[in-house]
Amino acid sequence: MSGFGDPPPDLDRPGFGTPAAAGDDPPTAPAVPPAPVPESPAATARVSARVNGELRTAEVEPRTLLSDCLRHQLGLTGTKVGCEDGTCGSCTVQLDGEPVLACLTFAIQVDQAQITTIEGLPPGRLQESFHEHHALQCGFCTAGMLLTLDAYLREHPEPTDAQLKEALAGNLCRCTGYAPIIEAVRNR
Amino acid sequence: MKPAPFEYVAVDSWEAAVAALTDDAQVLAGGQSLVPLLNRRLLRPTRLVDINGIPGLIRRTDGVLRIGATVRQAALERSVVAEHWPLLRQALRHVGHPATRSRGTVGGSVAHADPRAELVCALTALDARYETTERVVEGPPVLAPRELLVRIELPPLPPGAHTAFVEHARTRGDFADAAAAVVLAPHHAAIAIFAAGRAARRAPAAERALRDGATVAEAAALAAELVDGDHPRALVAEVTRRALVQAGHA
Repeated sequence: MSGFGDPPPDLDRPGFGTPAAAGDDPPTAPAVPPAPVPESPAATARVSARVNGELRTAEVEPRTLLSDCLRHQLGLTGTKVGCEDGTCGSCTVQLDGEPVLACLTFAIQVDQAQITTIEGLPPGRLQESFHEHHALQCGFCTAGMLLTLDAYLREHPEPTDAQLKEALAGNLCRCTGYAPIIEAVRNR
Repeated sequence: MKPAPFEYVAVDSWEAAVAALTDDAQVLAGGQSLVPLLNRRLLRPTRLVDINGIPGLIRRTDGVLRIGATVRQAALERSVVAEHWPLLRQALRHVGHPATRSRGTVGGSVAHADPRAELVCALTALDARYETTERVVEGPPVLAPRELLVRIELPPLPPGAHTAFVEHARTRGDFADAAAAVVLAPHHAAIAIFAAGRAARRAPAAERALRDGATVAEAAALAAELVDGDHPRALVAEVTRRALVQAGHA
């Protein structure tokens, strides 16, 4: 395969640049048969969860991380994967309303749970305020920031700057220097 | 990275958990320490026994607080019952981040036995007792194979007690280089400290001195004598001093 010119094979798979057509195809119907599981001691399991208000089902190995299941099997690529060891907070989603790190949760554990990803967070003042205050540049951390903030602000609607910094300490941002993010929350 | 393949067994009772534990199995509680190790393949268990289905309760009976091992750290942080032991919340604020505390369990912190665990330091100052599937012990238990931590018990605080938890960490939410947990009441003083990679322990000399009317600086210096090295000693002296001041020592 040359370095140029070969079109990537699967740019049009659901969620890869193009939004998944809602309700069109079954969420887990892959274009190719699922990869065989070599020498795995573990059989796959069927997991059903309410993701962004919609009942979704996926066939997962026990070791499949929730972050990978959301991105690769359900096509919800708004959830970003940074460090995969719980340091960066990029993959934060809400599990039954609580912020959790999708890279430290196995998909098999969320059977029958409610999951909210950035795709399911209703547009609102917080997002507008992020936009107005330039609280993102590359945007990689933004989904995790918003889901962490959404859960935190529900319980603490009027946080001080110090409390906000504490609440966001688990979400790393390498672009903004955080000040615009704090500013955005304060002026939302 | 991704974890190596493993077999997954979910259980809903301690008996079933013990029965499911094979030689090469790991217990999956909140997973906030275990899953990073699995993701980096530093651990490759053949089986994970998921104990998240075992209900964990926070109860207070006869003044004694009982915390089930599978209680989430976030649940303990919010618990109205546990408010009578404010040191728990003071320490939990420093345990990871909101997103790790909503999965991480109280029992997991103890069983994982990282020497820099804030929660264990607080429990040590609170005279916690630990109930496992096999025995009841006074200090944090060293679990045998197929032994599981079931419950943590805290005696009531003495009347008029004030508590404080202070730590020094390079970044917020990271494990601390040094920490002090303090309980002060009339005729009662408890100090637990950790530093320099050694697990939390009480500072009996400093506690005795406080009961005999020692100043903050004297007590902090006595607590610092427990650790080796100039820097760790300076850190322990300072976090102990701050904790004693926060707990209202004159």
